[in-house]
Amino acid sequence: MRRLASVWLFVAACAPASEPAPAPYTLEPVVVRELSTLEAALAREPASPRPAGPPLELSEARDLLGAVVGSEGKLRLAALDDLKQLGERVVPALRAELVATDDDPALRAAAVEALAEIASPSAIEALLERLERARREPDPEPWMRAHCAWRLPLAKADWAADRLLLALKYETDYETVIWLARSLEASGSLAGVVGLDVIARGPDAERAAEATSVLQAWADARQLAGPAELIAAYHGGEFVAREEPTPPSVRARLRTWTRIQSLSEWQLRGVDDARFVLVQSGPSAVDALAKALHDENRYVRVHAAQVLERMGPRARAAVDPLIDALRERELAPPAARALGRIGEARARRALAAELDAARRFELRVAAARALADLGAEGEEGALQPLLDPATPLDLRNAAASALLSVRGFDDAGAELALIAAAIEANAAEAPPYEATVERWLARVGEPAAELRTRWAELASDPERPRKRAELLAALAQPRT
Amino acid sequence: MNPGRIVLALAVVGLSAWLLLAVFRPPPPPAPPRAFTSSSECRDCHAGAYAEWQESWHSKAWVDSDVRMLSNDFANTDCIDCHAPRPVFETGIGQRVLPRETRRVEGVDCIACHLRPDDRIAGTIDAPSAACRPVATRELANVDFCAPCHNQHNTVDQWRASKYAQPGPGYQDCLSCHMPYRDGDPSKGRDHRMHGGHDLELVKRAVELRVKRVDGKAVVEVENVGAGHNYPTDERSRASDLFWRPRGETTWRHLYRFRNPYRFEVDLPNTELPAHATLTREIDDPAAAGAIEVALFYKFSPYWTTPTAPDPEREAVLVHRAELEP
Ligand code: HEC
Ligand code: HEC
Ligand code: HEC
Ligand code: HEC
Ligand code: HEC
Repeated sequence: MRRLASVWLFVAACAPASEPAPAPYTLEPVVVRELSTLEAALAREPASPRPAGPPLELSEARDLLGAVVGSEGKLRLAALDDLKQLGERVVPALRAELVATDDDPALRAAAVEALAEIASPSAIEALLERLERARREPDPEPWMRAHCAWRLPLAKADWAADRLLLALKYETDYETVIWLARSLEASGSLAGVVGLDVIARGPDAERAAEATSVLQAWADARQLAGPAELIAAYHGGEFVAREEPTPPSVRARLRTWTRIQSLSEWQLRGVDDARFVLVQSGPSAVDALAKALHDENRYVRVHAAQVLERMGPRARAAVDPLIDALRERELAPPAARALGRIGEARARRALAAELDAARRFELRVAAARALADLGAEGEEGALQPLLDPATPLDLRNAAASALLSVRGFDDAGAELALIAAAIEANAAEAPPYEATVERWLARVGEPAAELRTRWAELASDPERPRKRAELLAALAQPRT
Repeated sequence: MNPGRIVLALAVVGLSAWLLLAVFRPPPPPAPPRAFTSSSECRDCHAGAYAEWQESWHSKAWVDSDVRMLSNDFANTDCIDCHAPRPVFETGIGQRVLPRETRRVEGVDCIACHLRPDDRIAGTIDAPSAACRPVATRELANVDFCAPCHNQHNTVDQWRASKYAQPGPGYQDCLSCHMPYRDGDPSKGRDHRMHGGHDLELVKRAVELRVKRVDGKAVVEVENVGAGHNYPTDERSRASDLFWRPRGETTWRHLYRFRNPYRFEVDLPNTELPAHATLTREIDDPAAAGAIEVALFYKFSPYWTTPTAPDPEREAVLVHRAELEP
């Protein structure tokens, strides 16, 4: 066997050099390698000082907490400093205090503050566990979660952001969500805007007002008009450069790669969590995900592409690695969709090349849909032939959507007819086609004014898909 | 034996068999490879299987209104994986499936279950000349074939732990119960309707309801006699509730619930009834000393309109009912 291989290599080496074939797409144990490098780096970091004495009893810790609660000003700071000096010795007792129920809640609030001041990995872990309590068991004191979210930034631990982000997924207490969002913002991440927006539109008037004012303050700080502009700018990737102002710590990078590793778990809970956290993460996660496109594990690389797709324009830095990923069979369709969503025009040519009849059907459809998202300027020649009735329906409809992105109001008949038929045939598939039409309506401007109004009026009509299809079909009629 | 010799012997046997075939019966020309782009293409030649599949919930996996509501019309793209999957054989038996880009409306379709990475069709026979070029593929009948989608909530593991998984006369696998032979005749192939919780007759076969008096007290028993896994299994929105009432009364009183709660319901335990297990419950109420009715209901969504006063006759389906004299 090995001999065969070397003969082949020999033959290959002697063959006359013609076109230099591109190097094959490499698949490697990327995640395993990154994790072991980072773990080694972490092991080299100076260890936290060993506790100089036995751990404190809960009652002793409570006496110290009582001193914090019972004093003000400098005295309070001094009492807090006593706890801080005890460091690891007092962490176990403070952790126990976080879930106690038999004493003054003010002591628990002080325990949160003390742990954030101690700021060692174990102290931060205690706070994060408390923040996550409602995911394991009923939590009689939701305000403690809000308290942990509020105090965590004191610890200045960038690696905790990963868990704050995940908390956004599960948290149901509005006050806690607001504090999670603020704490994340303090560390450079605007991931909380989505949750704040939900609360701002929600039924709890008091919290809605609070969320709105937070959003407004952030908008002001960025010279934007208001919450809507802020949220659009966040999704548009306008703050990427400002996220993560300092290079992330080893621990934070380890967290990111551990999430990437979770993308390959069998249980979807871990996968869903990882996707959620990574999508909300900043630029260093984009770089890591771009590397992970070369992982030998199919679930890692395919889901990495999916995460980049969900990040949209915030993942701009991954465009070139994604174009390269179009060469890998399993990765190609999600990589194509990611390129469409990220929205960099330079991906157009590469996507249009994937429409070729020699490519797999799944990839051709993904490429056409990506061109619909991206706008197909200059690629009409590759798309036009796909409108032929002999083209399988999925591909024909995707090509129509892509072509619509470059059609004017008067020359979109064929595309509109196909899209109308697609919406009519299958209401369950309508939303992406409707989004395509909406982009077209917005782009063609004035001539579509009347259509735009009627289209919008149908937004909440129970028979929306059918009626919208009729609207489009009528518009297509005189032209086809 | 020398391995070289085995190869030689096999080659000779193969060659003579081939010669025989070549001389006496020229093999039909292999069909040109055909790339299927929709399961509706299978309908032309497999109308029966297609009609059954259309009746099944697999065909509704993308359009099912409950799924669409819970997934926010698949805006939650995490839900696409199993409800519009790429072929199981592409990712591999027992591995998780990945979402597909095309013809999602067909849900869990012929292609998802039958298409092999070599673009041929997994079946029980080799027929290279048929348009779909089927290849006998044993893995298609394996329980692990169902696992990519049906083992997230451990249905396959539950089956493995049951007596049905033991080799011998009592052996029954997923296909025995969910894909029986048409008319019980193996030569007719398997029924693609794949009945599950939506089929009341199947649910009735899953459990037995008994009620008796022990020392004057009413005692109810529910035994899992017919499900090859927990009752109810898989989808966490399913629930089965036990109710009772004194004869002549109209309101049902809640006694017990079988259900695997959603992840976020951290205060609820998993109370599914494992295969072969029996739940025994005493009705601890003086009113149960008289004549009573007991009933087991089945529900597709776990919540009641009025949780404090559930109305199972309106919001659930009756599985079994029993009566007990004073
Ligand atoms: C791992 C594969 C998988 C994923 C991912 C998945 N489902 Fe399902 N889903 C299934 C299977 C298998 C069933 C059938 C189980 C049953 O009937 O008990 C099902 C059934 C359902 C049902 C019940 C349908 C009915 O017939 O009543 C709903 C609702 C549902 N899924 C919603 C979702 C939502 C929402 C998501 C995303 C959050 C999702 N599913 C993701 C595999 C999956
Ligand atoms: C043009 C007709 C045609 C089309 C289209 C077609 N098949 Fe077939 N298929 C056949 C024939 C003929 C056989 C061989 C039947 C036999 O010999 O019993 C067959 C055999 C099979 C078998 C094996 C049957 C067995 O008993 O194990 C499977 C499975 C199968 N087809 C699935 C499919 C699927 C899935 C599709 C669509 C993707 C499809 N076929 C499309 C004609 C077709
Ligand atoms: C959920 C998976 C699944 C889906 C969906 C599915 N099949 Fe099957 N199919 C099977 C299994 C399992 C067998 C049985 C294999 C065995 O007995 O070894 C089978 C058997 C068959 C056979 C062999 C003869 C028979 O009837 O048993 C044919 C033909 C067939 N399927 C066609 C289709 C067609 C056509 C569709 C779409 C309309 C389809 N199948 C959808 C799983 C599926
Ligand atoms: C590719 C994923 C996938 C595979 C493989 C698969 N299923 Fe399913 N199955 C689903 C989904 C998704 C649903 C839920 C559809 C819905 O109701 O929305 C489902 C539903 C069901 C149901 C419930 C029907 C009901 O009444 O609600 C049964 C029973 C079932 N499958 C049996 C099987 C068996 C047996 C196998 C193996 C031969 C199998 N499935 C293979 C995805 C799959
Ligand atoms: C001994 C017969 C038997 C065997 C073996 C069996 N099942 Fe079932 N299955 C049932 C019965 C009865 C029900 C209806 C009651 C219930 O939901 O538990 C059912 C229900 C289901 C459902 C539908 C649940 C719903 O919510 O609609 C799924 C999915 C399912 N089984 C999958 C499987 C899979 C996968 C296997 C193989 C690992 C399997 N079953 C093996 C008898 C069986």
